[in-house]
Amino acid sequence: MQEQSTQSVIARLGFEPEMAQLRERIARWVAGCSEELREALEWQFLTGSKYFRPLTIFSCYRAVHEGPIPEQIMQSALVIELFHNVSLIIDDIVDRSPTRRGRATMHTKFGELSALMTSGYIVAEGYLQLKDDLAGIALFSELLKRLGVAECMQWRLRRQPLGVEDWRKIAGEDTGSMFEVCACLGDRSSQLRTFGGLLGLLYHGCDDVGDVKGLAALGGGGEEDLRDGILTLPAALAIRAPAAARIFCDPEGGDLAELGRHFVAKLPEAEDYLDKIAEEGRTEARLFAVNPAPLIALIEQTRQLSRY
Amino acid sequence: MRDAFLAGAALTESLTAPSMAGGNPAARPPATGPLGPMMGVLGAMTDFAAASRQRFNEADAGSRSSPLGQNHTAAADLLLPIGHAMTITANRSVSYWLGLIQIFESHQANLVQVVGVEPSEGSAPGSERLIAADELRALLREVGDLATREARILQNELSTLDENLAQSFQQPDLAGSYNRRWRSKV
Repeated sequence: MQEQSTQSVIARLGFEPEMAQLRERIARWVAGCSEELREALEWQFLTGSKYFRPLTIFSCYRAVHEGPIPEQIMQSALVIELFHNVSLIIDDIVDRSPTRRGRATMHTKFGELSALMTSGYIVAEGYLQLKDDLAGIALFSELLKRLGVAECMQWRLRRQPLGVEDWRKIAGEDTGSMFEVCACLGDRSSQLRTFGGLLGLLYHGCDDVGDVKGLAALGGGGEEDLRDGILTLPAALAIRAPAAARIFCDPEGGDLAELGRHFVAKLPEAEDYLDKIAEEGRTEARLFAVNPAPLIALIEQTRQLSRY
Repeated sequence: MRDAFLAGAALTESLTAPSMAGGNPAARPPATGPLGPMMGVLGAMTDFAAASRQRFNEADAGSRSSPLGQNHTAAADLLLPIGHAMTITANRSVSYWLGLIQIFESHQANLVQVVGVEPSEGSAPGSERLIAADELRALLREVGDLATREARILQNELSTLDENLAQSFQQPDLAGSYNRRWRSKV
């Protein structure tokens, strides 16, 4: 359903030809990679991506420029998709996730060694694709560094009685940095950097809330975060209550199902908080984009993620 | 240049519109509340900015219709941008203070709670103190975000004025293929 909705936003914003071109470029790139890794790359790249990050780059370009999407922006869209997949592969290894999007994760299918080596290969290829785009190289370097720091910070701060502001910092460095960089790659002036950060924060928060909803309704999703004591938005709100904080900080001595119920009880408050972030994003778009419509469409699409 | 001024001055009219900085305009207390005197001062500043806009409009129209219009226009070409810049800056200043008031209003109840929180016993901080600290940090972040946003808007507006000024002072013989194609600031 999420995928259909992203497709409808792509159609509405008129980016279908660019997305088709991007899909073709990725397929061509995979076909030209080392035979040793090709099967793993095909497994990772040739199915199921929503291309939401490339869509963000195109939308940010369209928000401040007119005319067709130039080659440099297409190239950035390709590389962001490559780097995003690196972050997924590493996340899946760290989280010990057996599946993603209903399919086996790369390390489950091909082994951890292959998954790690393929990640390094993709990063090297990404930089090669950027050629002489120095601003792009700087932005992608910023992204990889911030993602690395965010992952370590999130792990270090697990199972601690922190607050919503701490969640905001962690999410801002994790998903926020990804979308900040997407915005800068699209507008090429950093005018929309803050918008990108808010979009990423919203995406991260909606994902957190969606996971807890999945946990409640389907008995699936979000178990890893619950088990590992990761500070999600519902967690940050729930552990304000001492009873929930005790289980969160010491999961061995408490009932995880009980903690899950505390999270579920905080969903309305989490949704309200996400509404505020969405409004901040809309205001930012109206203030700093020549044409805010594509950016507002991204906000609306992202806000829906927790409502399915 | 004139358009840039009008765009900048038009902000004055939008100053009373609610900003999004966490405030609820419906819940805004009347000017007789504790923030009343500050609201009064800001209202006066808003009126001043609007009056400045009118004066500059009149000065601009007068210089063009006068028999000595040519000389006056040359002076106005230099004076008007200065006036525009001052109006833009005043508008941003007012907008910042209004935004600040809205943020404090929206956090007023929580701030009162923060002041009322008892120090916790022992080493582990009580949940009330953690909540209070979180609320206070949200307030500080919002104030910082507001300052940054207003500064970015100001920079954009002055940049537009700057570009318009550069365009209007461009020598006529540099028209055509030599015409400016770049923005002075990106």
